[in-house]
Amino acid sequence: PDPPFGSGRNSPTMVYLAMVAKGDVVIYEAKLPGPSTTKNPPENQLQFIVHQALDSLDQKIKSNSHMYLKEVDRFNNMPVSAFVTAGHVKFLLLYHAGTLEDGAIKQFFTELYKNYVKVCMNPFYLKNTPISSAIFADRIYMLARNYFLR
Amino acid sequence: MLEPNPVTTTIAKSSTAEPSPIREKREVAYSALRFTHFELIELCRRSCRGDSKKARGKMEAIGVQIGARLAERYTSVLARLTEQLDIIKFICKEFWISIFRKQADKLQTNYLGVYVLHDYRMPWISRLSNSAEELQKAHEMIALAVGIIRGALENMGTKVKVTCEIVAIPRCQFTIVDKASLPANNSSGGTKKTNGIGS
Repeated sequence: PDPPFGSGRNSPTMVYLAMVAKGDVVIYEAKLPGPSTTKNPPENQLQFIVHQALDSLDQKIKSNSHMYLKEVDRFNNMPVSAFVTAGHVKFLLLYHAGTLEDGAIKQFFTELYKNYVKVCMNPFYLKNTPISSAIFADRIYMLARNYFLR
Repeated sequence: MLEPNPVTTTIAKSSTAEPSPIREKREVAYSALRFTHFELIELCRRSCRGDSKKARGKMEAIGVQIGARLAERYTSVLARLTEQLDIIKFICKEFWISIFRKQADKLQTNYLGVYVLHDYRMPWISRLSNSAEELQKAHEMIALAVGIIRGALENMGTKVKVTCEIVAIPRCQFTIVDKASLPANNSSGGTKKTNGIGS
């Protein structure tokens, strides 16, 4: 679903975030602002790339007990970075190689996790369903702007 | 421990909190929590028209939702746990402390997916007297705890069946059986099942 803030913000969106819950159900996806580069892959491909990364991510989960897994897959010079929570919710970030640093991504993921926990605490939110809160979308957008645009 | 806003409880916090200038840990009176729990039991009993088993099932379902949320929240500070035994240990220690304000007293396992958690002084039923009629009430109180444990474990990846026996008030033991390790037939004894991740 498109972020609910329309065409007012014109920063070139370059980073694709997908949150996948158990059973490979996508609960949130967004194109977030990143350092500008040309040549975004077409929209329909973004989902395929990230979905493909889930396989290598599953393998890495079994061996690694960290939450933040730096890079799990790569597609045409675009790495996919991942973060897995204890409840097996995966955050995947697709970006252009060299435009984002590890530290920034890790901080972004940690903040994203905190926001996700807040969404979970909402008794009206059923787990493994899409997150439709506009506040959540706005917050993620601000996080991306803070951490990715330098 | 009293907080001006009586709506939020330590178990089910709502997500819309106004930003406070001082970020202190928000807590709620323990007695408020207990009274809410009692009213919840009454509500379930009334809605199931006195059918105790159905009421307990309903409480357990509520507990599953609570447990899933609590697990998501309390595991955010730890590294991810890959071993099933580690997950159960987490339940015994941090999780138990945050819900019942004490650790579980004893954990037994047969390493085949069956775990027994003992609690010698379960806070929720410690005030009941040790008689047969009270046992029914104690089971109703424990139903929520059973659900919370099940919700937390299912959220962390293992499908489990949790039952609780009240040995004597206030002692109780929770038996956690990993569904994956239940023998489908006689031939699967002796294999160690590791934590089922995903799905």
